[in-house]
Amino acid sequence: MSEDTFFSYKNYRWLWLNTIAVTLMIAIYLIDRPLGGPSGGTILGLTYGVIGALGILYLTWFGIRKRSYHAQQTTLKGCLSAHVWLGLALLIIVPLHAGFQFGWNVHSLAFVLMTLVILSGLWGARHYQLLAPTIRSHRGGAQPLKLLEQIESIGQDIEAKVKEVEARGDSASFNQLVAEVDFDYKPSIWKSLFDRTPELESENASKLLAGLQPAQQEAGLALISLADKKRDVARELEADVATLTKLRVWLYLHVPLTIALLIALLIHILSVFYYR
Amino acid sequence: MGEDRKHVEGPIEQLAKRLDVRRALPSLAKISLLFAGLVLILFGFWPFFSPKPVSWSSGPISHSHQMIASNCRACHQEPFARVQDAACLNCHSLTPHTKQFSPQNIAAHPSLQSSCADCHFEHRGPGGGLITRDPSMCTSCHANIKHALQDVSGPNVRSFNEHPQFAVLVAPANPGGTTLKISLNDSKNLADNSHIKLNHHIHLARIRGPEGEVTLKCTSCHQLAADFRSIKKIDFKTNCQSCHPLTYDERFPDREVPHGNANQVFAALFAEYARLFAFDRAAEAPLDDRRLKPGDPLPSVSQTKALGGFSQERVEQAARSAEKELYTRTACKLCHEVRESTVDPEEIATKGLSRYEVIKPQIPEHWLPASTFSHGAHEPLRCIECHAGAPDSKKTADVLIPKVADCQKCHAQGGPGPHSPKPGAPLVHSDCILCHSYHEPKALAEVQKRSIDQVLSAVKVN
Repeated sequence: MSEDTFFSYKNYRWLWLNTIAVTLMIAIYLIDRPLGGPSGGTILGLTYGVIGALGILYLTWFGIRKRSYHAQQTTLKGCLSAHVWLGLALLIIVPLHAGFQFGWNVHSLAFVLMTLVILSGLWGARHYQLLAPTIRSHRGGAQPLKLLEQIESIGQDIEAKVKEVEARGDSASFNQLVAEVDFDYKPSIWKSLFDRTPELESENASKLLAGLQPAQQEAGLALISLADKKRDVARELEADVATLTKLRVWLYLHVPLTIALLIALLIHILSVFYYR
Repeated sequence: MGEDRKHVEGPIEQLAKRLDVRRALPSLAKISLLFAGLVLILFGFWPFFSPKPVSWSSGPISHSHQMIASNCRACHQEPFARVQDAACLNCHSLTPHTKQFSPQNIAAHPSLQSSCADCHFEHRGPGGGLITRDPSMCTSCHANIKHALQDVSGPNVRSFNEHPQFAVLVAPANPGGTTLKISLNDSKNLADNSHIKLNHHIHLARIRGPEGEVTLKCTSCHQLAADFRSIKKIDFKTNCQSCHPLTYDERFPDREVPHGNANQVFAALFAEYARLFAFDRAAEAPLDDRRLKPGDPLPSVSQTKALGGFSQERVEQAARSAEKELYTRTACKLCHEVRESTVDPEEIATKGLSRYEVIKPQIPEHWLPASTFSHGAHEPLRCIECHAGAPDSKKTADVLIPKVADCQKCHAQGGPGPHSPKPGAPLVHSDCILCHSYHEPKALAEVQKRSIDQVLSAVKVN
C-alpha cells in the first residue's frame, strides 16, 4: 500500500478500466460505417462527444475534490488516479468523436486546449513522480526561510572574521581571499532553475591562501570553510526552490487552460447546434 | 505557516516569499479569467455577431458552393434547426428518386422521407462529401429491396460484382402497346421489335456501294455524337441513302423521293410526273417492258411511242405506279414494314394521299435508360469487344447490347472482379454512381431564376 502511487493505485485499476473502455470504443468506431463517413454529427459521433464532455467535466471536478478535506468514500489518491488515466483516455476518445476531422476553427481549438491541459498535466505528474522524494519536510516554505537565515548567519560570521583580521593589521591579501571565495547572494527563482551557484574554485583559493601571512592563515582556512558552507547552503536552497517551483508552476498552465477549454467546449457545443 | 503573521516581515521573510513561485506569478484565478475571457471574446462573441463566423465553421466548403461560402444563412436558415430542403431547392431542382414512395412504405420506413442533408454533406472540403460515392447509400435499400419497399418487384443488388443481368427497354411487338423491360437473359422474350429491317451480317460483309465494292465498318453508320457520349441516331439520309437511293424511274436516275412522310412521297411523285409530262416530251414515252440493266443504253426518242398530251389521269397513273414499285418492290419494303393505308380510299383519291403506310420504326436510342453510359469514355475499345454479336447477326430482332459480364471484364467494385481476364488484378473501380444517378436534374421555374449578384449573395427568391 505504501508503494501505491496515484499511477498504480489499486493495481493500476484505472489504467485497466480506461484501456478496456477505449479499446471497445475504437472497435465500435471501426465497425461503424455511417453514411458520409465518421464525424461528430453521426449517432456514434454524438455519443462519443457526450462521453468526452462528461469526461472533461469529471476531470475538472477534481479541482474541487482535492480541496475537500472531510472524509469521503473515496481517497484523494484514488480520485487522482482516475483523473490521470481518464485524462489520457480523452486523447483518444475526442479524435474518435470528431472522426479525425480537424481544422482551423473553434471546434479544433477545444481539442488543442484539451491536449495542452493533458500535456501540462503529464508534465506535472511526471515531475511529481521524480521530485516528490526529494522534498524535505518544510511545511509552508519554512525550509527556504531556514536556509536563508543560515546564509545570513554565515555571512555575519564571515564579516566578523574579516573584522578580526583587519583589527590585527594589514588585511589586503586577506581581503583578496575574501573577494575570491565569498559572494553576494541574491537568490531568485530564475537563478534556482537555470543559474545555480557554482561550487568553490579550489585552485585560486589555495594560491591565495598560500600567499597569506602565517598569522592570518588560520583565519584564512576558517574563512574558506565558511564560504564553502555558504555555497552548500545556497545550493541546497536553490535545489529546494527549483523543486518546489517545478511542482507548482505547471498548475499555472493546467488550470487556466482548463477554464479556457470549458469555455471553448461550451462554444463548440452551442455553435454546432446553432448551425446544424 | 510556522510564522507569526502579525509581526512585520523582515527582509529575509520577504526574500523567502519572492522565492515562492505562487507569489511571483499572478493568481490562478486571474490567469484563468484572462484565458477564459480571450476565448469567450475571440471565439464566442465575435463570431456570433460577425456576418461571417469563420471560426465556427466545422470544415471548408466544397468547390461548388464557394460563391455562397461566406453566407451561412444561405443554407442554415433557422438557428438550431437542420438545413432544410427548401434552402437547397432555392437553387437546385431535381427529380425524385422514383415515383412517390407509397404511404405504407413511409410509415414502415420513415427514413425513406430523407432530406437532402441526409446524403449530401457539406463542410467536408473541396472533394468532400457533397456527392458521396459510397455504395452503401444505394445498397442500404437495394441489397434487399423488398424489405425496403414491399410493393416493389425487382432484383436485389449488393454490389457491381453481383449486379443482376441488364434489362433493356424494347418496343412493344404491337404498335401502340407499352414498352417492355426484358432481361438480356430472357432469350424467349428478348427481341428488338423496332419495326425496321436490318441485317448486320450482310452490311458488314463485302458489298457493292455507290462507288464500287466496299467493306463497311461499325463507324460507317454508328458515329459518336457531339456530346462524346451517345451514338448518333441512325439517319436515313446520312447513313443509308448513298447505297439505298430512293430512285423510282430509270428514265431519271438522279431523282429520288423524299424520305419520311408517305403523303409527301406521293405528292413528290405526282409533282415530278406532272412536271415531266408537261415539259419533257421524251418522258411521255412509256417504259420499255424490259427492265434496263446497268450498262444498257437509254432508249432514244425514235424508239418510243408518243402517246398523247399531259393529263391528270396520266400523271396520277404514273405516280401511283411508281409509288407501288417503291413501297412493295424496290425501296420501302426493304427496310420497313409496309401495309396498305387504312384511310378511306375516297379520301386518298380526292386528297392525293398515299395508298401505303409505313409502320413507324421505334429504334431505341437509349436501351438502358436507368443508366448513363459514355461511348466516348470507351473510345479505345473496338466496337465488337462489347457488341460481339453484330457481325453474325442476321435478324433485326437480335439485341446486340452487351451483357453485364461484358462490363465486368473491366469494371469491378473495388479490386478484382468476377469476370476479370487477369484473375486477381484490380479493375476499373465502379461504384453505383458511375452508371446510375439518384436524381435527374430538372429545369428551375422561371420565377426562381435570378441575377449573378443575387446568386453570389444567396438571395432567396420565391
